[in-house]
Parts: sequence; C-alpha cells; structure tokens
Amino acid sequence: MFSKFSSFYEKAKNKEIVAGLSLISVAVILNLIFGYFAMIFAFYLSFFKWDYIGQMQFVGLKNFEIAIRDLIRGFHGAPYLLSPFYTGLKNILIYTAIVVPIQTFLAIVLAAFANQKIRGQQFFKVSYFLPATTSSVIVALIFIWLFMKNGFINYALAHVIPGFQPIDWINDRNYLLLAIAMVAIWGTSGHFMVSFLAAMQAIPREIYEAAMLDGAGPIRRFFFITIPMLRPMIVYVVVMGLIGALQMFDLAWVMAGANGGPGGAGYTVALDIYNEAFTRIRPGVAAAKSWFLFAIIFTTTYLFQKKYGRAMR
Amino acid sequence: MTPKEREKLIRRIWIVITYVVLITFAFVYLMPFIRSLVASFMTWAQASRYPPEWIPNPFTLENYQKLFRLELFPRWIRNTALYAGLIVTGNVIFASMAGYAFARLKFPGRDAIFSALLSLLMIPMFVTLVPNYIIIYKLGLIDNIFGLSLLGLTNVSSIFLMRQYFMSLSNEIFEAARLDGCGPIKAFFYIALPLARPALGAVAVYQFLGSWNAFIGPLIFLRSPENFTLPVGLSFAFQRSMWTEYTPIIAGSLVASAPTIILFIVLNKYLIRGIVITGGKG
Amino acid sequence: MKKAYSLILVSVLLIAVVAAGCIGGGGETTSPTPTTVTTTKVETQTTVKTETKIQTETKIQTETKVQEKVFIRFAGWSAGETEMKNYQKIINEFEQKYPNIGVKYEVIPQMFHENILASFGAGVAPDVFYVDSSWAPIFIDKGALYPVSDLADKSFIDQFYPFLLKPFMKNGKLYGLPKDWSMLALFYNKKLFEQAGLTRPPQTWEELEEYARIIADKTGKPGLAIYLGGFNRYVPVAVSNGAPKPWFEKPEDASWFDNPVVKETLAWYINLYKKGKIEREQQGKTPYVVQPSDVGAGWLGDAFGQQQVAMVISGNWMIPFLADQFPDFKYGEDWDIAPVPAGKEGRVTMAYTVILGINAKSEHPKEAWKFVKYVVGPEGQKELVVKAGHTLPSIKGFENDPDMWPQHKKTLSFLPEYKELIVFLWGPKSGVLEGKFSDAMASAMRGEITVDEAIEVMKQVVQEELGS
Repeated sequence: MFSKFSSFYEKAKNKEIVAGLSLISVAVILNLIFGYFAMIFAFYLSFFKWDYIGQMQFVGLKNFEIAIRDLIRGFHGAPYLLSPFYTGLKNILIYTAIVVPIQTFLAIVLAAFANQKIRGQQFFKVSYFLPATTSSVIVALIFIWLFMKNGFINYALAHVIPGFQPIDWINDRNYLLLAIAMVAIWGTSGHFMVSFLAAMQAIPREIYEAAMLDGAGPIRRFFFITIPMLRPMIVYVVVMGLIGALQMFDLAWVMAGANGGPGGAGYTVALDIYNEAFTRIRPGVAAAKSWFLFAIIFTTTYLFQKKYGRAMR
Repeated sequence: MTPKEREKLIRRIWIVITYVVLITFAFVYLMPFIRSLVASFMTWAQASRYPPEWIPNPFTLENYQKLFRLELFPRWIRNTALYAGLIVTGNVIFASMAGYAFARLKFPGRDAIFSALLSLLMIPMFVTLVPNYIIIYKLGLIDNIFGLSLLGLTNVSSIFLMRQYFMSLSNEIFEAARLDGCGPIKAFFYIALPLARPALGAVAVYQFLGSWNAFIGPLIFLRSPENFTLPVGLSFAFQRSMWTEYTPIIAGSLVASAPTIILFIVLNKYLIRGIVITGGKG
Repeated sequence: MKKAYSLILVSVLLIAVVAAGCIGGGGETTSPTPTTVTTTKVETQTTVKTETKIQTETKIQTETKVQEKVFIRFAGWSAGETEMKNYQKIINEFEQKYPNIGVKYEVIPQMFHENILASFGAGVAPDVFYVDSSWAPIFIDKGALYPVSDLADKSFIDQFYPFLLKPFMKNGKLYGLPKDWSMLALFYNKKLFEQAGLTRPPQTWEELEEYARIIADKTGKPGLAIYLGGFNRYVPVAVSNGAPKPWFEKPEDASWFDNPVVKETLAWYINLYKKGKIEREQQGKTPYVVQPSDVGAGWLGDAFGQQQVAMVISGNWMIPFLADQFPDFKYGEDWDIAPVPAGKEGRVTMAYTVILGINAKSEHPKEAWKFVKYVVGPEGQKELVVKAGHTLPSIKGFENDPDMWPQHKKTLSFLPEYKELIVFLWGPKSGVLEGKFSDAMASAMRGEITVDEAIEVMKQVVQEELGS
C-alpha cells in the first residue's frame, strides 16, 4: 500500500495534488462540521413545519409557496405589512446597490491616499480604520443620535448645501435606508482599506517608476496601473461586500427596529428571516426564505467573479 | 512660467488637494469617536442633553470606575484575549495554507470545493443557529471558550483573502522555484509565506477585530458570566430589560477598541514594510 | 461533479437526517459537568434519593470530582452584577438547605426567548427559565412548560396576586409562577407643577391633556411625553372608558377595533400627539405632548429624569433608573407618583410580569420545583425583589415591609384604586401584534395615515396573523 502511494507521490503533478489536499484539509473539515451540517440542516428544515418544541411536520414545498406568494403580492403593490419578504428584498437590493460600489471605491481611494509618503500618514490610516474597530451596535446608537432632526448631520449639511431643509432621517420613510447605508459605508470602507493597502504592497515599484518616466501623472497611474493590479483584491472586497450587504441585520435592527421602522423603510431580508424564525415561530419558512437569499447572493457573486475576476495567473 | 516652475506648482496644488481630502475624511470618520470619548467622561444626565455639549462638566471618571469596579471585568478581558488569540492564530495558520493551495496548486475539485466553502458565508445565521447548537452541545463544548473558537478557527473569509492575495503575486518566482525542483510544500514555506506578510497582517487584523468585538457567537454559546467575552459582559452588566446604562457602555466599548487600535498601529508598519517583489529575480 | 465531492455530500446528508431525527420532541436536558463540591461523600449518600444520577462527564479545562447529585440549570436575562451576586447568594442558601441539588445559573443577556426556543430545538433547554408574559402563550401552547399546579399546593399559590396568575393558566392548570411584576403609574415633576400653578396630579384622561397644555403654556416645557405608537400604553385608556380587554386569538377578534369606545379613545390618544405636538408647533407654541426623541431623550425615563417633560406614564423600572442615573432629582421633593388617570369606568393599569417556568421535558421536575419554590417564595422575593428595588414582589404581604423602597411602596398603595390590572398579553401572537399595532399608531401620529386608516390596518394585521 505504502509503496503504491510513494510511487504515486513521486510524479510531480500528484505531489501537487497531495500537497493541495492536505493543506486545505483542516480548513475544510472544520467548515464541514460547523458550516455544512448547518447548511444541510437548513435545507432539510425548509420542507418542514416546526415550533422547536414539538415534532417536525413535513409540508413539502409549502414554505416556499408562502415566500413566493408574499413576493407576488408585493410585486402587485401590496403594502409592507402584507408582504414583508418582498419589502425586505426590495430594500436590501437598493441598499446593496448603494453601499457596495461606494464602499469599494472609497476603500481604494483611501488606501491610495494613505499609501503616499506624506506627513501624518500614520494618523490618517488609523483614523480611517477606527470606525471598523467598534461594534456595529455602538456605531448604530451613536448615529441614531447624529441623525436626529436637530442633530449634527443636518447641521453640517445645512452649512454645505444652500437651502437645505433638516430631515428627520430615522423617521422619514424616504431617507431611513439612505441613513443606514451611510452608516454602513462609514464603518466598512476603512475596514476594506486595509485589504487594499496590503494588496498595494505587492505591486512592484518598478512599474510605477517606469510609468512616471513615461510622463504619466498620478491619476493616470492610479487608473491604469493600480486598479488593474488590484483586481483580485477588488474581487475580494466586492464579493465580501455583497455577501455582507445582502445579509445586513444589526444596523437595521438598531436603527429601524425589528419591524423596520416607518412603513418598513428599513426592513431587510435578514430582519424578515429573523422574524420568521423567532417572532412568528416558523423556522421552516425562515429556512425557505434563506434559500431565496442564498440564491441571490450566490448568483450575484458568481456573475461578478465571472465577469471581472479572471484570475491574473 | 517655466515648465519646471509649472510642474512644481501642479505638485503643490496636488499636495494641497490630497491634504484637504484626507483631513475632511479623517474628520468625518473620527467625529463619532470624539463624541464617544467626550461622552465617556460625562454623566448620562449631561451626555444625553440636547443640544450636545462637548466639555464634560462635571468631568467624571464614574463610567470608567463602574467598569473597573465590576468584579468580572478583568476576567472578561482575559477571556476575550484568549478567544481572539485562538482565532487569530488558527486563521493565520490554516487560511494561509488553504489560500495558497486554492490559489497556486492544482488538484481535483479545487474550484468546486472553494465555491462550496464560499457559499457557506451566504446563509443568514439565524437559520444555522439550531444545528450549531446541537453540535456544540453534543460535543460538550457549550460555555467554553475553546469550543466557541472552534466555530471560527478557519473562517472562509480569511481563506478567500489569502487566496486572492496569492493569486495576485507574479508567477515568475514560483515558476523559477518549480524549475529548481522545489516541491509545492517547500514553496509554500520558503516563498509564499514570506511574501504573504501584508496579507497575513490583514487577516490577523480582521480576525482580531471580529473576535474581539464578537457579540452574537459568545452570546449564544457562552453561559456563565465568568466566561463571557467583553462585549457580552458589557451588555450583561449595563443593559437592563427596560433601559440601558449608556455611558458605561460607551466607556467600555472605547476600552474594548483600544487593543485593536494598538494592534493596528503596530501591524500597520508591518503592512507597509512588506517585501516588495521585483519581477524576474529569484 | 467529481465523485469524491458527491460522496462527501451524501454522507453529510445522512448524518444530518439522522441527527435531525433525534431532535424535535425527544430531547432531554443534558446535565452539565459537575463542579467540585464541598459536601462530603457520606453526607450526600444519606440524603440522596433514587432520583439521582452519577455524573462522569469531564470538561476539557477544569478538573472534576464525581459526586452523586442532581443538577438543574437555571437561565435568566440579566439585571447587572448585583443581581447575579444576589442570585448566587440565594443559590448557596438553597444548596445548603438541599445538599443533593446543585444549581447552575446561566445568563443570556440578549435575545433571551429566541435562544431558549433554539435550545428546545436542540433538545437542551434549561430546567428552569424566565418567561415574559408576552411569550408565555407560545411556550404554554406548545407544551414546553410543566404545569406548576401539579407540583405546588394551593396555599402556596394563593400567596400570589390572582391577576398575575390568570395569563398563565390554561385548562385549569397553572404553568408558572411570577417572580415579580411592575405596573404603570403616572410620574410627575412637582417643581414644574408648582411653576404652572397646579397643586395635584391629574385624575382623568381629559385632565391629563389639560394639565399638559397648562404646563406647556406656563413653563415652556412639554407637559407629557408618550411613545409614538406604544399600543400597550394606550390600552388602559380604552379599557378605563369601558372597552373590553383586548384579546386576539382568532381572526374574528379583530372586531375589538369596531367597538365605538375603542375608536373614540384611539382617536383621542393619537390626537394627543397630532394636536399636542404637530399642530402646536405649526401655531408657533411649545408642544404639550412630545415623544422622547423630540427632546433629545432615548426613552420616557430619560425625558423625565432630564426634566424635559413634566409627566410620563411608565412603570416601576423608572424608579431604580432615576435613583441611579439622576440622583439629584429626588423622589418626594422634586417628583412624585400618582395612579394612572381614570376614564369613565374607573382606573385601569397595565401589569408586566415574568414567570419562572419549568421545562416540561426536564429530567428533574421535582428538584426544579423546589428551586422555583424557594426563589418565588417569600425568602427569595425578599432578597431578590424587595431589597433590590427593581420591581414589585408578586406575593401579597410585602406592602408594608421596611425594606421596600418608598417609591415602590407608593405604587403598591394604589392597588385598591384600580378597577382592573391588565397583564401585558393580547393572545398567542402578542409580540407580533404589539409591534404592528404600534407601527400603525405611530404612522397615524405622524400624520402619514388617518386614524380610520390606522384602525383598518390594525384589523388587517389581526386577520393576517391569526388567519394562517
């Protein structure tokens, strides 16, 4: 047996296979136990009706039907109270479309600026990263106070935009989602700045030097060298951003409450799934809805990776 | 204006713009912190006052005293440090191994397994709560920091980050090593790891951050107050069912942020000093 | 797909199916690892009965000794370190009294009931745990709680205020005993009253509004703060004017909203904010009704403690909050408590309570009961409730206890004045309904929808939630 293995191992290609598999083994096994078991349980659960205490009852596709009915109702204009899933989905898609591009862009820009050799570089880097070091609950609480009608944000905006009327962000159904998005961007752009900073270290300095000799200014260098070379990291930031944004729960929970605030303006899919699981005590439906969400996250990240993330091998 | 003077002028304008941008952003990002810092030295009666006041009057250390008066506070710090240490070590070791393998080695099922791992991140945690409960209880690991850390020891996001980083390194070095007869494992230890310092730093920072501030995981899987980590401990000590004592929590979260900030400042220099790769040389 | 991959998938699926079959109905509470215990082995053997088990599980870190003892797990949410220490004291006393029972106290600071539900799902729920009144129907209906009436004798149960027990009874059996309770009362700022020339607290709902206006006009501070929404704060207004108590179990129960008294009082309550704040501000005058965030406060207690408003209707939890966070604002001199204003049919107030429930699937219900009896009995309540001063004792007889805080004593003294005390519970889906009702009311208060539209929405909510 062993001799067979050792001759198998000699071939370089197989060496790579064994090495690869063994390197990933611990990670895969741990995730299998703590992640996969849960995922498969969730899949199983989506076909059952359960209240945690009694037995599970098989209901086939009923849970999915409930979710789909909700979506159809919402699509035809039913109010938020009757179609929470649709509202949550709609809101989170809008939210993601706002947050992910802006936070990615800001993270790159901040990293680029922070990478320059200027005085106070350390200070700026730490300042931008600071928001990411606080728990999101505390951040949300502070921002609720800042977003009040006579709070700091209105005050600042009034000074910058002529004719600005103060907005009651938290209670205004048109602006609540925007407020939550702003808090998210504030918190996470610094977080991803760190990734870009790390990736920027891997860009060989010679390329920049050659470009500078060719007369390329800083902006051209940024767009034609930095961004292309950061491509794998951009994929990381966007994919993680998508995964995080589409599942956002804690900010909405603190700023909008379990029911999503005025007219459900701050209601997200994650909030809805939580309500299904624990307020309406329908974990089967929660599982079914999670699969919808999963499908959306999977598709968006897959499409993005396919289109943009061709590996720089 | 001579071309040289013009160039100098452009450069100067550029520097001014840079500073303006940097300072404005710094202000926006720092403002909530300054507010928290100031509020942590105020009584709630004053901190909650509107319009907001910026000078603590009376200046009070009461919030911090309440923190340190808590018998369990040092214990919580110890628990959180232990938890963070485990998570950071585990992630740095196993994510770098797995990330390297997924990025640079070919083996059957590589991309399928990676996609499968990535999709683990796409399920909201409320649905996975019950099954994880089952596993942890059956393994007897409830109310146990080691058990809790098992859950996050090989976080897929770390693996993802390392993989992307390794993918962005140039191929030449690895090719050269292969031609020299260097096996994949050797290449990992002698070439990939040293080059990966910035990314490892990022992983360390992220995982430290995540575990130090982690709330939901410890809330669910830790039960005795003496085993709590800092965020859960703060909630336990200062949140009642009907109201919350905010100022000690603000003070507590500042104290809790301090280690991450220090870690970041330290690792920061490390992030920059990463070895610059020169293409083509071995 | 590669063969290896699908093989892994199938085997995990099998494991999952098998594991899933084990849970959901057949779970037992696993006993925790034993801690080192000071009682000698001889002693435990003599007092031990047949219900004990031998524990031999070992923890990874701590060293253990094997003892013959029964362990029960007790879970609650937190009221801070002091409460934890009080519980430890009680547990130690209890363990000395019953050396064969060990109690492990667990704390889940947030999302408590959700966690308990999930632990039921995994088959590992604690033996004794808190249950809030609004969650009680869920647990009782699903058979998660052990009927306490089977374990307790009548004389013990009679010690409790009967109105606190009603929500926890089903089919003649009692499923839990309240560990404490709080009621709503009117808190008013004496200094602001003096400034406005008022000498006594308002007695009726109309007077409440009138006084609020007088105070706003004379002192420049709003007279009353209420929550935007807050259905449970509105219910006393309805019932004290003759409406029946709200109870929603079937979709037809939405007809409660058709009652003319309900329509009238709901319109009045919503208009409190619309007229008291929105219209007043349009006229350029100080509003006489506000919500806490309008004056920069986080909740009613904040608004009152900062002296931004003269009156709030809140519960006993205000008392320790004010004592702790606003110590210069003194009870008696600066502020006082009055009973909730009266409607046409008398005074009504809300009661909020938490019970200690025994897990129906517990392996040691009798030991669990002994513990519950100790904690909610007079000895436990004296330490945990009366002296601690956060809530009111649920057992009769403490009204004149020297250890009770004077503020709490005062609220208890109002008991005889109330025609009815409604426990915060509207039926099996209390939590959901409360949230959605409050949302609809808030929307109406902000002027986004009319009162009639809000009532329609609330009826729809009842039909929706209870129809499926």
